[in-house]
Amino acid sequence: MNILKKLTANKLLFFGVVLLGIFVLSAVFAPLISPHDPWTYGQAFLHPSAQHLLGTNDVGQDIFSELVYSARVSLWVGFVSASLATLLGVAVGIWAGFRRGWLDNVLMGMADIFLVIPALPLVILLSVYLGPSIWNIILVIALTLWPGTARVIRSQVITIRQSGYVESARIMGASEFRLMWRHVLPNVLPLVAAKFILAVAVALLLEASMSFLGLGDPSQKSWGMMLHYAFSRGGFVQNLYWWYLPPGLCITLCILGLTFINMSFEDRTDPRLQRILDR
Amino acid sequence: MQRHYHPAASFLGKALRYSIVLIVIIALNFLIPRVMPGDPVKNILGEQAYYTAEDVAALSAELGLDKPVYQQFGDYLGGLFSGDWGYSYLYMQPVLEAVGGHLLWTLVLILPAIILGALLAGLAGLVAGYFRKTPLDIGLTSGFMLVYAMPHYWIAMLMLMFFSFNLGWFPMGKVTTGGLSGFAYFADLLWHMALPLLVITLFKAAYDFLIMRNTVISICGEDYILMARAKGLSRGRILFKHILRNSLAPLVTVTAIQFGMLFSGVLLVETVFSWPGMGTLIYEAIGARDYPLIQGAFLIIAVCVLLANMTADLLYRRLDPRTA
Amino acid sequence: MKNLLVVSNLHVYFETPAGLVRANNGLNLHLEEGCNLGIMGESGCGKTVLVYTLLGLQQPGKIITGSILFSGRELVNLPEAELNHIRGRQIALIPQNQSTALNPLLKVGEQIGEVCVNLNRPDIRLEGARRLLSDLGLGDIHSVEHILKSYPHQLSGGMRQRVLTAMALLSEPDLLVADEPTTALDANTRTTTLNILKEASKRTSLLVISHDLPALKTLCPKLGVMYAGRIVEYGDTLSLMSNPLHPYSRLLMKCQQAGDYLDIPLTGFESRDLLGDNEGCSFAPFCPQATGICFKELPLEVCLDNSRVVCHLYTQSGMKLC
Repeated sequence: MNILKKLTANKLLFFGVVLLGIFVLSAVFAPLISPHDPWTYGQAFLHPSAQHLLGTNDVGQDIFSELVYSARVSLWVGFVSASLATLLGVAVGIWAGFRRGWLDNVLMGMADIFLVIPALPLVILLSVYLGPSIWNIILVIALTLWPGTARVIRSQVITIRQSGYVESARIMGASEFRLMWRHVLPNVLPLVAAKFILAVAVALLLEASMSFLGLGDPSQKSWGMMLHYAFSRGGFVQNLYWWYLPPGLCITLCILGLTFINMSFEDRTDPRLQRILDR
Repeated sequence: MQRHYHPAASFLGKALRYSIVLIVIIALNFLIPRVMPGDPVKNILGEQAYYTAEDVAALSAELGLDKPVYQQFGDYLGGLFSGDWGYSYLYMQPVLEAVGGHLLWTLVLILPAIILGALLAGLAGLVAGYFRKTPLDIGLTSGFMLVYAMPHYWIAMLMLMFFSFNLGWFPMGKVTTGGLSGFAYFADLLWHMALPLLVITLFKAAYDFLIMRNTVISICGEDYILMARAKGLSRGRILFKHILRNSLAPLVTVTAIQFGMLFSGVLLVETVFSWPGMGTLIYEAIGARDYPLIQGAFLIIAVCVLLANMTADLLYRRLDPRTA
Repeated sequence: MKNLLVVSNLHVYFETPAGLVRANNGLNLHLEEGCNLGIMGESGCGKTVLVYTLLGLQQPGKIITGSILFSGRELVNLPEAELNHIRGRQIALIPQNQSTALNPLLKVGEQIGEVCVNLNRPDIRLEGARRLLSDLGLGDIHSVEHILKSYPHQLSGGMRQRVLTAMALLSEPDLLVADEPTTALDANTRTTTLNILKEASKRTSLLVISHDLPALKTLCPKLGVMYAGRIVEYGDTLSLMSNPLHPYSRLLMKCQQAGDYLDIPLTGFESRDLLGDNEGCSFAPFCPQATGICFKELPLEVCLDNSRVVCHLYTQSGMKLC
């Protein structure tokens, strides 16, 4: 009951979760929701009708079913890449921030390099060689996302590490691992959560962009892939807006949901108010 | 000693850092085709290159694949600096030529977009941050957030469809209708440029807006702004002399650092508008698996982004006297 | 003596996620023209809120009731445009934090010059600023010129303090509010600052917020003791210090004998205790002389000779209410 209350109190969080939730549910219950199997071929370029709510694509597959099933791949890639990237970023960030010294330099050097290199071109370059499987895409996206998290976590860790109670725990002989696990990690978690949500959004967009360019996995359906086919297989020039409008809309709404959730984390306290109280 | 991205670091240190990044990128470019799965000759030449099984041995020797790695790398570097970036079988021209030509068209879109986008974001962010939580702010923020959430190429598609296909106000893509010169050519170019420029400006502004707004909000909470009000300064003066001035440095930095992201977005938008820039080049190269072309594009893009970052550092030092 | 500033029954409340914070809770004070008033209290008693409310610098949406009469003019609910006209001209502020009160990206001269420009008086030019800075001990005209061309981070804390003081004095205000002018200063700078303020008080009336008792003794003939958003005792500084009436004032003076500054909170009182609907006196839980009525009823202000006290000890029959 408490969670529900908290949720409704924060409108931003509420809408974010609702928006995202719609698509998560769509992904989970896809077989129940979609009227057809999105892979069966049929008559191409049909306009929306009672039979096919959003018409059919260039090989006759039902677009609405495609849309529903695409939530799976798009969200899956988004969440898994973000998870991988966040895990890696947190591990590196904590380790580097804790150990300092040459290890810190090397790790942050690597992070800097990946930060400077623009994500999409790098992803393109790697994917072109690695081939269009889902796991390749996930790996490549995770590779471009980890430095952002790592840097931020590292800064936070450095700040926390210099704080009193960590120092006293260390003096009392706590092992390094214990220090990281028990003391540093819990304080870093809010930041990690925010970064994770951001990473999901970025990963989602990256996957969509890659698929749009033709680097997606043709054995899977994702919103980006739908847009790719809509653009390159005649949906665009024939102005079949029921084909290219919905997938983009779904992506937009997912990103919005994620952004709302992220913003609700930041909106916690009014910094000016805190200062007034501190006076 | 700490290699930490901080604008106060010395210029030499900065140059060194960027050189290292450049070398790493070049090394990446060199290594990737050679370590990736598949036939190394094909990985290097691309799938458009036609050769038979007998040619493989000869080609391997020609590409230096039998030489030790460091020597290969040396040759590769030498090639890069002498302008030999490989041959594109797709366009039937040297990679550097193909890439260079397309880069120009991309710059034609990107540079005005950066300036316009920064202006738009700067003003909108200033107003939204200052009049925080008012209907104006909520309106602006919602609008830009929506734009930020939309995939760039999707907006491009929608705009193209609506303004071009349905309303006929703008051409359907490409750069020019051909056969024009002088002023007519220029005007025609602008007409073709309008929609893609609009899209790119919008989504750049969307990203920068959120940053600018946050910057302005945090500046508004600073003591010196309170002091400025205590001095009885007019609202306009505070807004422009203090708030705007102090938010310039972060804005400029963000603009330059996000150049990479901007570039990626431009690539996608170009594809939709058939604009003959890097985007179209990469799109076609991917389709044809013309690896040398993709590599060349990657290298050029990475260099551009590095240059943008260096510019950001230089500008930041000028704008914030504390780092001088 | 005419009253320059009269604050009556001032309530300043904030809505926070934790509840309603009553930063100023029925505050009364008055400042006579040509006189200096010191306000002392610990951190969290609402001093700075008072300062910013006086200047009309609270964020919109803060609940403010009561009256602030400045030269007979009501400041509460005055339109922003008119308030802005008073700020920096008739009421000036020397802020607490000299390190953050100046814009780090603008030269000092520019920031001082803003005051001049704001006044719209051609006779007050940067020349006046230079002279002031020189008077304030920043060196001859040439050193002063160098300071004007510097950025705030290039100056020492003491220099910045003097720049801020010059900025406030330049406008020749009727009321000069100094917020913690001697906090966190080393002994030398503190002495210089006190001298500057003493000089300044020849031209304007001072309202000094501080917990530095010796400084207040030097500068202000009148003193008000603030606790939990109210002025609990008010009177002549010397007599208040030698013979404090309110139990809280007694506690303060005792601590003063232990050390000079009052940085540490004396009681268990924290700013979060400003929350809630305390029926009785806020000091009651910590007061050694509290009785039953102290927890139930709010004491009223009582006038005794030249002093005023807000304490049930004095609200017996026969005592005159203000």
